[in-house]
Amino acid sequence: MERRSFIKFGGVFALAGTAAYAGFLEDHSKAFTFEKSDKAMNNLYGSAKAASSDKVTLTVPDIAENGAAVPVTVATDLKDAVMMTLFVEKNPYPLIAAWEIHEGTIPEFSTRIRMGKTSDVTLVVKTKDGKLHMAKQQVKVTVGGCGG
Amino acid sequence: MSSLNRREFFYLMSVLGLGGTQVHAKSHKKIYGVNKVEDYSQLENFGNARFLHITDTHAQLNPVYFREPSVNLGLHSNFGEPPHIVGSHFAKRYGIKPGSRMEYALTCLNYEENAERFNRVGGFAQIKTIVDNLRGRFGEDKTLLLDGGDTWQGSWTALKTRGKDMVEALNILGVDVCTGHWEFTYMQNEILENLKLLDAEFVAQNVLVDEVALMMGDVPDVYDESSGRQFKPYTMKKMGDHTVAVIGQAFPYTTIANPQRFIPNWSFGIRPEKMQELVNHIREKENPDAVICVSHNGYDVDKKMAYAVTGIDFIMGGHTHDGVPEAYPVKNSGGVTHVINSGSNGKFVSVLDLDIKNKKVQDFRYTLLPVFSDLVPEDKQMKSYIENVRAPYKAELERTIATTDETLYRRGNFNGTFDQIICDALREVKGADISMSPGFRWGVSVPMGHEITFEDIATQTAMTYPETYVREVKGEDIHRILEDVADNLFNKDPFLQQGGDMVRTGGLSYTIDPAQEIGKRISKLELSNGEKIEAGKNYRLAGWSTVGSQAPGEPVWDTVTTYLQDRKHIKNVNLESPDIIGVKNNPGIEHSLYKS
Repeated sequence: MERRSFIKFGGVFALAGTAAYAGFLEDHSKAFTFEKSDKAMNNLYGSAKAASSDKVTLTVPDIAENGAAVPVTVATDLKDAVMMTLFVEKNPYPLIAAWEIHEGTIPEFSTRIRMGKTSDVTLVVKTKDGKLHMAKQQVKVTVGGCGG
Repeated sequence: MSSLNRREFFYLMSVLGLGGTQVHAKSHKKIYGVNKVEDYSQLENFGNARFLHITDTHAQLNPVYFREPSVNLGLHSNFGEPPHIVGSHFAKRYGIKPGSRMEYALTCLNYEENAERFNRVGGFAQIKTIVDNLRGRFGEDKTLLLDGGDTWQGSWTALKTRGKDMVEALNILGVDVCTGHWEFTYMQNEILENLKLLDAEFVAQNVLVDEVALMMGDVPDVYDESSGRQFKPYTMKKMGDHTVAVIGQAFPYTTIANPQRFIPNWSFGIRPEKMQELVNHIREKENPDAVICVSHNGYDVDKKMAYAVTGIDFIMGGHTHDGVPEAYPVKNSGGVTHVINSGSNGKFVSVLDLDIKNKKVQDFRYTLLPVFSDLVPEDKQMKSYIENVRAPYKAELERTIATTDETLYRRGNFNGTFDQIICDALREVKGADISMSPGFRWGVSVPMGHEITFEDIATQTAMTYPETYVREVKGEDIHRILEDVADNLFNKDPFLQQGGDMVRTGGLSYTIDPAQEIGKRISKLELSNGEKIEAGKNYRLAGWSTVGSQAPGEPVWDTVTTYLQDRKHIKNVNLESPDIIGVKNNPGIEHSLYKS
């Protein structure tokens, strides 16, 4: 299948998937209102602390080509992942997205995020046992304009 | 000799009494310096595959003057490492004598005297003669000519023909493979049209089509929809009995350092993991005898990529305009990758000869060959092509605008004298407190005593977003801009360096501590009258070359022409370079030539 038709097909499929699961989602809306990422973390996960893991993959550019739409891909090899959350520390509301992972879902998502300034981006994956695993990378947002 | 390290090698040379000649580890035997035209033909043939490399010629079809930098600071792990060695430090490391042609080609020392004696450098008609000679003597079928990009921009004719004059020049030169950066400052469809006219293969593993644009079918000529690559990532080339892979790496920060609005459907980046996948694929499936990368990363980024990615034999690089007369070895977990860089403005042709046996590069010789225009005869075909291309613009280009008692140049980490003229022009003509001009590395030199023609102004300004502006800016924003640009230049991590120099400023003085982190480098910001810059106060700032949206004012070449016509003669230039902290022992600065 050509990439173009695959993406179109995938798009339709993803929409259908969201609709089917919508009724089961937990309400995380409060967590999106905190202005500090540790407070949002606390709201979502209580006192549990996240440990760095090579099974958590966060793909972001070193320098954003456009701060208004920074491409992000999140993924994990952890078999029993139940939730993934993405934080941009320096954004006014650091929690950017939360994904609930249902059995049989491939835990890999791509999206675009808005970033006003240089910041750490953190992906946290929660597994069934309640443990938190994370990956972190800095994304630079620059005025640019002086390349040789 | 391969078992000797650099220090032992130089020690041996001095014991043998050869110190003081231009002998570099792994350089061709017979070319210690070029002083007469015969020296070009005496370059030995070594091994069985020859790569010729030019880069960053910036559309300089005719010979030019180009002064090498007196400031090119290396910090942290790059302290004192090539290419961050300038002036007398450079001369010492490479055994270059005062008053020699090599001093003229490679350093900023005695520039005025040397320019007077040795005249111009580069020129496509001269390069063509050298390339044909080096090809013919080694064997056409065993030689490849690579162009590292920044070829379609930098002159008036390139701008007026939207890069097409250079496409044809590359065809006449016989370039086999190339990649790009300023090529991407034309519109998407102009670029794709030009590539259809280009005989060479254009390769770039790191230019991806935006997924939405791909889905909507907004971009023609996409090389591979499944990988999203706009261009062919590599090409396999026959060289005699051997097959080599040439991978392309376009400038990774094109859409950050230059306007995204011309090419909204393309995404760049270093993409080292994709590079590694590609090298692995080539090594497994294509059975290459050697893997070469033609790169526009810049020297320090190339060095880090050489460390992070295994399986590349040579990175033939550009972007940062560094003329380094040796191949720099970088050890990585798979072996060694050598990095080279071939300077700028047509000043050099790199010659890399490989000895390939048993599917492996056994040994090599490398020489950075300077192009002395007065020694090398012009190729007739190229010469007449250049004359034809220039004919419609000739009168305009050769118009004298002013004269100068000071050598005007741009290249260097901080303000050059030509940038100072641009900054002064912006302030005066546009009535601003402060002016800024980007730290471009292109732009050639006008030696003292020469006339400043419109063509000279064009070499500093001819590009597709030349519009000027004046706006009110808060003091804190001026500080933030300087910090931001300084971080692009001096960040500890080479992958976060964009390869330009520091933004040039007029009407402003400051102190910089390059080794600090972002937010802590810039201090003591003052107007030129000594008044402190206040964070909350508004200042009138003039500038040009806006990356975001198009600026409203006239193109900057008009601003500069107006200013110079008014002045008529430049007696001296008041260079507003910053005070630099912590560089006393840094070989990346020639203190005898630094004015602040």
